Amino acid sequence: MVTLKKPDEIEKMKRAGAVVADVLKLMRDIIRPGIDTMSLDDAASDLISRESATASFKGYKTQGTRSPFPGSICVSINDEVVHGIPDKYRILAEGDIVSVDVGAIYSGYHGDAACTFAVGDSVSPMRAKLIETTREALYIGISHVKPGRTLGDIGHAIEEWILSRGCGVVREYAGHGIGKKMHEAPQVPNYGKAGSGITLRQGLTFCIEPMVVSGDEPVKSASNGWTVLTKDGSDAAHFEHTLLVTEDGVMILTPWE
Amino acid sequence: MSCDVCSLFPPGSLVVVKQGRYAGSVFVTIGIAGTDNDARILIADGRRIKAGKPKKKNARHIERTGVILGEVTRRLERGKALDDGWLCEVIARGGR
Repeated sequence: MVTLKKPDEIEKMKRAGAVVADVLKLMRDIIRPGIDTMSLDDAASDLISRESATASFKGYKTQGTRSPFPGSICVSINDEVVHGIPDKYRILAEGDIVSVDVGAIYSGYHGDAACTFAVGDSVSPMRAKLIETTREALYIGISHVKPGRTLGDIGHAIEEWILSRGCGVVREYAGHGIGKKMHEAPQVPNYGKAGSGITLRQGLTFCIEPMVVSGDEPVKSASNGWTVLTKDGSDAAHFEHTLLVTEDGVMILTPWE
Repeated sequence: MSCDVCSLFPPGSLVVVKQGRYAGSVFVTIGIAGTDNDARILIADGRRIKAGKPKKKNARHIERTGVILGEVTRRLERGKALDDGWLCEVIARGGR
């Protein structure tokens, strides 16, 4: 069931979103060649605790997964699309692209956002284009958020943009409603028909999160049960914001840029 | 953290199959099979695909109609078996 948030709930979600944004800003500052992904997790975990919040992902369990998610953040490198598990033996290398997904709970409400970063200064033009295409897809989706528009409008615009740039859309995973739970109704696919799906209303909070691949669209899961990879080994990027539908438009609750 | 699109199809969802031999036909989802990120949606209609032997479909190959058959959802939540004749009738009524 879709729930519309009241002003006091929105205030808590803004605080949760601010924590998430702070963590992504920290990630932007510390990501460099040679750092291991567990160090990123440790830094994120520390900051979330200092801001009196809790990591949403730590211990999260979904239907069909064998074990709870072990990290505070998801760190996915190159061909890993989403849900990469932090690991002290995974070292970032010059030219890698790394997607960091962060979730935080503040006073019982969640914030959720993600960003793909280039590691070092020598990322290939293909990878740079993939990152830019995905970031633009997110903002194109956001530009369609206002009362009266539909989820289909958002998905259609995102899909059209990604395909026009010669990239592929990950269709097995989607954005989602958010609030007291990290995954609430409605689901927000990155594809769809314009005019279809539920109509957006003031007070609705949800995440748009395009996941884009430079090669073929099919993905597979790793043996750890969490990490999603491209089947053909091509690169992937992922951007996400938590959003609030306002009276006349949209407010980004996780302003990490 | 993105959600698996399998969660787009809660049990009792009326769906249209987009690909395969049953393309264009209406079914109801009765569960999710598989583990980890390779989950598949279980569908049946009580006639061509019996509830006791549901078909596994990739979530990309079925489409939501937006209709949830509450009677089916409730039966599944209570752990009751679905009678094929009853399932046919409920789908034909379309939840009305």
